[in-house]
Amino acid sequence: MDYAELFCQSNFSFLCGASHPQELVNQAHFLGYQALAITDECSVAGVVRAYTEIKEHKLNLKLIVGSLFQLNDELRIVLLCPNRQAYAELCRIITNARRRSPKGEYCLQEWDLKTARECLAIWVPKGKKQQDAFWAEWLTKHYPGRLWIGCPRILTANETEYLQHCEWLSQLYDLPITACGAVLMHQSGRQALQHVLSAIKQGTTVAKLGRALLSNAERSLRPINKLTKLYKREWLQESLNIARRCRFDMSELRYEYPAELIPQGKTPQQHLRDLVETGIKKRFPEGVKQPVREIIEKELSLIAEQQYEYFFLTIHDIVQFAQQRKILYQGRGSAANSVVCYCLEITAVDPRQINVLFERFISKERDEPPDIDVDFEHQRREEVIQYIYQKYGRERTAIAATVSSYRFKSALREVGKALGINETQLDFFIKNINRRDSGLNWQAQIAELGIDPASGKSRQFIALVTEIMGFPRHLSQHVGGFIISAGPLYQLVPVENAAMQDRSVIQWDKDDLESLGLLKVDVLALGMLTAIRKAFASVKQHYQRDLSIAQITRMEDDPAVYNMIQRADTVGVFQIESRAQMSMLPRLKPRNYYDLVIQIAIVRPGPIQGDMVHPFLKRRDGKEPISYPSQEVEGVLSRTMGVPIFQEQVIQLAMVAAGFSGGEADQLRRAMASWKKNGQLMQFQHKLVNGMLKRGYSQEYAERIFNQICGFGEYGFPESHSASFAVLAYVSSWLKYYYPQAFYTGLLNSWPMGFYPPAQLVLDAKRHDIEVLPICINNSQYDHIIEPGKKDLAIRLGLRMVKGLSEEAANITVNNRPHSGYQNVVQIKQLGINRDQLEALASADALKVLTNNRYSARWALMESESELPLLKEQEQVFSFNTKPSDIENMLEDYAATSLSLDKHPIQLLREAGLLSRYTPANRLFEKAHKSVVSVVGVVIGRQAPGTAAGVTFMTLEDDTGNSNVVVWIATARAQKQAFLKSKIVKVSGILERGDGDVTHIIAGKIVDLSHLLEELNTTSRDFH
Amino acid sequence: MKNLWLYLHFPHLQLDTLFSQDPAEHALAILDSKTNTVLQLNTQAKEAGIALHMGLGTAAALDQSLQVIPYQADIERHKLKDIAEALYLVTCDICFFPPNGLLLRIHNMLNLYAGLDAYWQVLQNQLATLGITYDYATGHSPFAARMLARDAWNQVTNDYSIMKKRVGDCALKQTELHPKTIQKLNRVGIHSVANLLKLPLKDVAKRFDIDLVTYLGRLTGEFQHPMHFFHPPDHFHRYLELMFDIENTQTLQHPLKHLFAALEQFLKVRDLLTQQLMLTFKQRDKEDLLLEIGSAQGEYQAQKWLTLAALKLENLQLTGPVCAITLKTGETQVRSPDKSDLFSGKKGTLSALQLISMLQAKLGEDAIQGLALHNDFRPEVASAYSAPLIQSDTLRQLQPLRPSFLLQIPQPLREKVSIIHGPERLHTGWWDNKETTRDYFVARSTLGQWYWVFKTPDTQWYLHGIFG
Repeated sequence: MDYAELFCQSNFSFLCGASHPQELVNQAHFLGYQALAITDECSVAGVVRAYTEIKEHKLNLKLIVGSLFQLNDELRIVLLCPNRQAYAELCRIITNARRRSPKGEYCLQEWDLKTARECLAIWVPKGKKQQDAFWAEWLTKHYPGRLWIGCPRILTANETEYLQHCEWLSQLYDLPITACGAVLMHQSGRQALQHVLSAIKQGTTVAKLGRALLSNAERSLRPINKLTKLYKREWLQESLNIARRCRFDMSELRYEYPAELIPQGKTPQQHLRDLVETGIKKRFPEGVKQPVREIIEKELSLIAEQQYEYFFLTIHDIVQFAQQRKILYQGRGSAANSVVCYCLEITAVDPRQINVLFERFISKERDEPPDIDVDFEHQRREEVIQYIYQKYGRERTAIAATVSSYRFKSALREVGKALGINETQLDFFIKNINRRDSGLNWQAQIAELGIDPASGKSRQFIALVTEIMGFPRHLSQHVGGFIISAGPLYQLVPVENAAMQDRSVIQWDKDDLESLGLLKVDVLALGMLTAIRKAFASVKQHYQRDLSIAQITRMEDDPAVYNMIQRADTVGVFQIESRAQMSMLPRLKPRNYYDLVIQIAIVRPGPIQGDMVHPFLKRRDGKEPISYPSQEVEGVLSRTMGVPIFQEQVIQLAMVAAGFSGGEADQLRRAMASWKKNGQLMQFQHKLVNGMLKRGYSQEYAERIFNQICGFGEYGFPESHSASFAVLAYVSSWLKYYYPQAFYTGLLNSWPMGFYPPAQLVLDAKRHDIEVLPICINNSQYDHIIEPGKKDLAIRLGLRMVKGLSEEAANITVNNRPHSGYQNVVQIKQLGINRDQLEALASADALKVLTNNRYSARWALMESESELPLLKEQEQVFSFNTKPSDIENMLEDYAATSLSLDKHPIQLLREAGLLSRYTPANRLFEKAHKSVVSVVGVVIGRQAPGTAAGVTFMTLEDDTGNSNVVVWIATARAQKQAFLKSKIVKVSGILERGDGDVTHIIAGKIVDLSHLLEELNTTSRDFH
Repeated sequence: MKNLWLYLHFPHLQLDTLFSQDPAEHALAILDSKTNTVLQLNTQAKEAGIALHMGLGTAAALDQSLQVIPYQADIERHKLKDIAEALYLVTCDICFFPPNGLLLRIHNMLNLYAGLDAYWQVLQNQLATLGITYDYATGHSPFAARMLARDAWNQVTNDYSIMKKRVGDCALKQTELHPKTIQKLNRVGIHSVANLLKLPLKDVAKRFDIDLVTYLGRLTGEFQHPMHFFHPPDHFHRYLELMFDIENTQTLQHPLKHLFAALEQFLKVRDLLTQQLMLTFKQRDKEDLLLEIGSAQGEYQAQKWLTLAALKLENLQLTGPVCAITLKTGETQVRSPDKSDLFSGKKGTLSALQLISMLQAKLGEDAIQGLALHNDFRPEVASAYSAPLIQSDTLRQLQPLRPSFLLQIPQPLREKVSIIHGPERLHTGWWDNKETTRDYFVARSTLGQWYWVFKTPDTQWYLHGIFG
């Protein structure tokens, strides 16, 4: 006897189904089922995974697409798709039911069910005579010839009655009965997890759920011989009859691109070629050279072969819009670094500068779809999104989903709660388990924290936490992946509401889209682009020079700029401004564009964990010979001196050295991206190592490559992205070097973005001898501006720095400013801005030109009486004579604007004689390597990079600069109090000077000096 | 006479209330479970570097062995009442400042005690019996006393200039003013009470709402500050949270001794007796356990009650560790010669509770049990004996077909039966070590009896119930 399971929910019926779709299809295949329907509740989110699994493992199992619906707790019905129209119908019904409800819920109406003309229906009666009779009549009317009674036998109490009831309905309404299993698990072993999921859903514990739990494990995929005992032969046969009618296959789904992109009478190929030719004239005004022309032809033919024209055209259309609106953008991704994209103005990377990249354009062998992400100015990305919605309509546009899954912390917390473990204790576990501790896994650590690993309950706890990790919890919105179609999107995939208003997401994530060969367009936001555009505008205004990213990259690599980068003078520069990046710059000494590409990719946890940084540095400096185990490997790794640094190299290595096919390599790439979530990467270990051994590589080399892959998995960085980032890193460095005023104001006006808060950017500007003028009611605009200073152009801080002052209020003060400026406080009071905001202005000392005491200015503004019309003209006399001291002024500066232009806290402390001897940051260079030093500073950063060594970096700031302190884990443990809590510290330790004069202080003793300035309102970026 | 107030501030009332035979050996912190910050902590915790208002994460990182107890305002409120009752024996006007402060009006007591020093001495002695940490201060107004005590000034004086000076030195943070008001004042450089008082009141009034003016008036004592004074309760009711779970009835006697001593004190000052005590033992993760102790002729002495309780405790079976105890009195009567009327009124009208405790006293605790339905599939758990008088909820309707007679221990099936319904498969209970895997059937014996039988996975057949 054969069987087809037609009612089966995966874990995409969130907190109900207890098996992954992949597990379900594998088990169904193992049990010899003919077909399996994945019928998640009002969802097809899990279907693609099942489909991909079947395809990848070539399983002999028919996949049926369907969905379960519940109507008013009266009707439970499974709709199945016999054909493409039925599938479109199902997607539409799901979309309608979902769009009526807030995120994560659905609301089905009778009308929805009436509109299904093609779907097959399996009705699972509730067992209530009158109610079921009503629905039997209703359903037979609307589903003639395609309605079955589904009768699950799951061995519950009183089942005999239920079976009789179903047979009665069957006879009365002449409906066939089909066997079905109402499956929630791929095997009975998942029962405990299913119970836990139910408890999480109900927000209670398993023990308290009592009879609301499943009473047994029968809702799993069961062996056919068991089913033949439970069901009548005809019923089983009926399941096969239904399955036979279901001919729809996911591979029928074709993405139809919006037709309006192509002018009438042209083919996509022609149109793309025309656009490229136009672009060539613009990009290569002096004419294109033969080698570049050849590459263009090669790329165009590859695009034609893969039929990717629409994809390029869609992106071209979007960036055209951005260009019209003068929104700065930059494309990145494997396909983005092509000459075609350069000509289509999707990127600004001049191919003549970086021709080394072109061979790695879309790779046919690797069987991966082209990848183009476009970054836009972060403050204006919404305009682009609105354009897409408006051009293609909301019916045809939606954002891809991201599946949020259980990660370690959420798994531990939710499972713990379901098992009745005290929440405080769970908090304690979570806070004290160090997932980075590579020596001790979390299971062992939790035992150390006081769970008895031998007890049954702890074993269950640990097993369930492990099992639930990787389970999907809900769908959320992808950061910017748009899917645009020719017809209504809901005929292709269900669309549901996102948490954000007026946004809708489809039920598939980017992997699902890739599996089906559907393309998405990534519209992302990047703060640095905003900053660069603003800096360009300032340069135009104050230096009358037009700049663009393309123009800057087209110039030769500028040694002066690289010189600045090599000194790690890169505060505010894109990507290479972090502590870790900065400490690597003097060692790596980037001299050209490609060095920057490497620099950006190498200082990542992936390469650091995989131990690739040091070999690379040594080889670069000629301290270690460069050798390759084979010619193929040399081909892949020669550009990075034999050390794999980019994600693409790892994939290529798997292909050339371990014999992975294109498809396998693509699977490997995906597993790498999500291995933290589900650990799928481990299945490749055997294949990779064996493949390499077979091809004559040493065991040791093979293992090392695999470890590097694991490291990459988490944080690997592709060369194609690094290449685009390097452009922005260079452009921002160039601006910093040539137009620092414009650079800093651009950054400050785009904040929040980047790594450094305004206070540090301003401090950096001052260290570069740029005059920074204070916020002033009579001179400042809302934004920071450039104005003539004493010697050179100076930066005038804007009102946007004033905490508690809205943009609107700031603009009122600017727009109503008299020609000669405000003369007194009363004028400001009369602006009609609320008092809190006025007071914020006073505290920021913006009224200094009117009254040289911010306390009395604020006191004057606080008064309510003189707002009365009669008293308006009177200048108030007030007997207020509290005057802020230097320290108070500084504290007020920090409180009101987060930065102070006057004295640095450390300087104030020193002048007050509160500090004992120490070395200022700018004198550290005088100290010898290995000498003992003390430094004092405000802690502006604590960073624990993902290295296994167990160090934390502390950055201390004094009035002369920053110093870098390295705290070893043992020191940190021994001096926890000072290390964790302090805002101002004194650190005594050993000074170390490494390659390229990178100076660190290895902390010995850390003394907390925070009490000296209790209220200092500096915020430090903590590593939590 | 000028007003004089004394404020007592109990900085770690919950911590002090936790019963412990020995002071804790390791760091202990009481945590606000909403914000996860430390509210109270013992010396060991302080030594580890943990400070008030620190987050749990930081605190736990500073001391791995930190024991954390959630803050419960109720405990402090109860305890504050107890303290008030104890102080009421020596002083009369007491106001509550929940959750952890008491304000005493003392100028009217000074004549009685012949001066402040003598009065304070008596009060201190009374406080010492309670074993609770306190900070204190006198003040010229209720707010003044409260602020100084909370600042741990710990001085008693009737020199008003000293108190006023001291109040002036206080930072605005320490006042009861709204944080926003304080912040506004700080932002114009006004940080201390003295700074604030120096400003012309009229200028202040123009810039702030009436609350600030009222507060200042009350703080300086210029405005009246209405107070509600404490009246002692008629019934004894006390809750004691144990520091450690107690699993052994012997050990329970120790905390009981403290409770009975408090009871004796309570009854003695009121000249009362009681015939009945209700003890509730709160068991962790289990039902509360009730214990009634009766004394027919009425009693107030702790020692007597302790003896009676000891007898009762011998029979008491704890089902789980006890984490807290409540003691309540039943009816109380004025202590007077017992002249009960032999012929008066109702006799033998026992409440169910009394009947049960009597039966239990005679037959032993285990002999008396009730039946209750539990929300569970497993028959053994679903229908089980439980402590008497536990209400079963409306689970009855949810039950599927189950026999009225359930065998306590299933018997191997020894006769031939014919299966009528089934199977109903039960496979559940993994979480409490009572995992059950059985197929249940409704079967009929040759004699026509309806049986509820089951088959185990190794195909052993058992009889579990008989339908009536």
